[in-house]
Amino acid sequence: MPVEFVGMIGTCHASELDGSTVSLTGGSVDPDFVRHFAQTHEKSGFDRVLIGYGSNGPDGFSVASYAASVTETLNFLIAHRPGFVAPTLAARKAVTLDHFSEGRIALHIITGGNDTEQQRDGDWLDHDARYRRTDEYLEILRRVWTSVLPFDFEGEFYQVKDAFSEAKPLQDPGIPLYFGGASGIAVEVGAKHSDVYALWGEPVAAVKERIAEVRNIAHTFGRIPRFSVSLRPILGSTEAKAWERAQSILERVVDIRGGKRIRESVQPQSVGSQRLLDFAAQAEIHDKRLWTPIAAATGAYGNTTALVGTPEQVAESLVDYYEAGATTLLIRGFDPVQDAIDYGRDLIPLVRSEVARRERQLAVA
Amino acid sequence: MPIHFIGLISTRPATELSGGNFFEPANHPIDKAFLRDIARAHDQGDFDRVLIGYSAGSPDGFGIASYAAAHTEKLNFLVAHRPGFVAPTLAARTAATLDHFTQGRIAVHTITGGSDADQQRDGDWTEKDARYQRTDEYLDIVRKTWTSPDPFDYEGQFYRVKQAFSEVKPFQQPHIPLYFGGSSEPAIQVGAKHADVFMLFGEPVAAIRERITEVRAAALPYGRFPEFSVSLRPILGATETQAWARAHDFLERIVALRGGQRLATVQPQAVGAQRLLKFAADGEIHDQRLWTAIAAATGAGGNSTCLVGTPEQVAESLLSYYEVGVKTILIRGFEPLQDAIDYGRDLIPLVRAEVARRDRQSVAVA
Repeated sequence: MPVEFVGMIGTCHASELDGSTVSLTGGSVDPDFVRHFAQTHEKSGFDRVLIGYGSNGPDGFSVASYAASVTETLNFLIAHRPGFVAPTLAARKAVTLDHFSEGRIALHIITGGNDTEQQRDGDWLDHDARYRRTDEYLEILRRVWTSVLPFDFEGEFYQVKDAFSEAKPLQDPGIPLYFGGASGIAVEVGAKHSDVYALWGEPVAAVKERIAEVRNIAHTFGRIPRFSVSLRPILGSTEAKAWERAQSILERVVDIRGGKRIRESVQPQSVGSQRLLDFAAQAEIHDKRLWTPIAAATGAYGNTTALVGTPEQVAESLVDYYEAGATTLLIRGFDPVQDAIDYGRDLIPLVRSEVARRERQLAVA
Repeated sequence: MPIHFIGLISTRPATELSGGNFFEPANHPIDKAFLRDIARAHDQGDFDRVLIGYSAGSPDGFGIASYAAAHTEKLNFLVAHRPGFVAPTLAARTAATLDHFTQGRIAVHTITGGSDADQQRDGDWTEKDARYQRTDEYLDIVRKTWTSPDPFDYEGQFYRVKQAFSEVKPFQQPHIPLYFGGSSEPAIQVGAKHADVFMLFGEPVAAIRERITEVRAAALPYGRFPEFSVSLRPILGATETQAWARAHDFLERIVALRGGQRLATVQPQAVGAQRLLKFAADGEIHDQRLWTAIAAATGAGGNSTCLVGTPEQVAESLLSYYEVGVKTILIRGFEPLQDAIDYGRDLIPLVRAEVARRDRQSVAVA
């Protein structure tokens, strides 16, 4: 199976080092920047770009609409939190954009790991109830996409009567659902619904275990999801230069946070974040080049573990994840636009050719 | 004051004249080429703005506006939006995001929903008067999200948010224009409080004058001075006789599609529709050319009263609405693409020229 590379676009030119979350969500909207950022990914050979979601940021569907209108082949992965749009309407929004973008969208279902963030948008459910709602939400979403007749649904969170969308997805068999979440109930719900289950960048052995766990549960629903791992490559022309660059990024992150190397003030509610922090507490480096200090310094709010090395070294690490079962790799850097260019020139071709070589080998065997 | 013209775009050429079989290829629910054509026809046809409708089975209006904006130059959009199906903070951010990508070419038309069945398709079981209370809270929060420089809390009957804040503020300042539709008593109260433009269906001129007075009186305590829009369906002909022949041809086709019924038997829940049916019962023609027969045949399930005549005659009727305080006219026909082209060529320029002449006159007199 070929490897899928996913990047990420944001809507305004802000160094993500400066924000509190080291993320590309939020901020205002600069259309010229979005165009440039999306076209950069397209030219660099990315298959798809993630568009993040935050309760103070722009709407991802609108960002994807615009970015699709200024690109030809790039696909989009729109992060979407169940609970803030009626699932029938969300399904129609996705179908509408699927047609206008010629089948270039997917949804990344994130249930929300933080109560404060949810309450900004008016949601007061607790974590486990949110996942139960996500379960119902995704069931309705799929039925709107596939049902040829109006249908009723009676759940704990949603009741609809004669729901129906005249328009169906352009993509066959449907718009792909990616899914993120690391808690026990997240795994249950994700295994049931996801086409691609997204994991953060944990050590390879841990990713392998997570994949086995999700596959087992998915099996009971008759589903076979694919897997994605999110990492932050930091490249250098020599390994020493890559580590130098990593250290200088860390110094800046620490500096902005008042000199703290470990973010103790806020214990994250998200299990995915807790897991990254546990790995960071165990060691600064796992698997030769999986580097955790930025996760530690930022409270691992988001995908924050890095792969540090030369393009050849990082490619080798990425191929290790591919071998472990992660056929989608979400990579983004700390200097978003320039990193997308560098990854496209130096890193992605190496990984693709090595994956192709192994596939040919398998075909011969 | 200049007059604004609003048209209507959709993702397929369906009107009351179309059959109900949406599975025919000609009725594909999302026909991109048609959408581009009709958006461009309006863009080139002297329209200021186009409405994008909403129903519980339709494609998403924000998605349609995004696409249409990318294929037009200057046309503005009026996205119909029902409160209750999106968190108001997120709806505000969605509109603000699109406002940036279109460089300020959008407005939101808030419609609270007049049919329980259509609400329930999307999972809303709130009854009608409560829906208007919800709309009131919803628009409070939308406006705050657009304008508040600081995080804010809100505690209402329907919504409770804590530290809500958007980093994305509208491109248009002070905010994205809010259009509002609704004819019931609660609708007028809520609309008067929030609307920048209050939209009315095409009733006789005298009735419109009353409605405007009523809404203005309700808006005054809030310190607001909304503008007004009236929605009409012009049916044009080179001669008046030809226009009426065309009108009757449309009516016959609509009646035939409905099994020969000239009076719809379904009693609509929406007060706006009930009002149109009452005018239809009072008379088939009001004000010389306001024709109600199609409203009667279709149950007035939308803007369905027509102005029938030559472009000059219809222009004169539109001016009589302008004279009673209507500064925005929403017009759409029964053959959407051709009608948009015809209105842009034959009707709109006449109205604009006469409005400009009267504006100059009042300046000169004053």
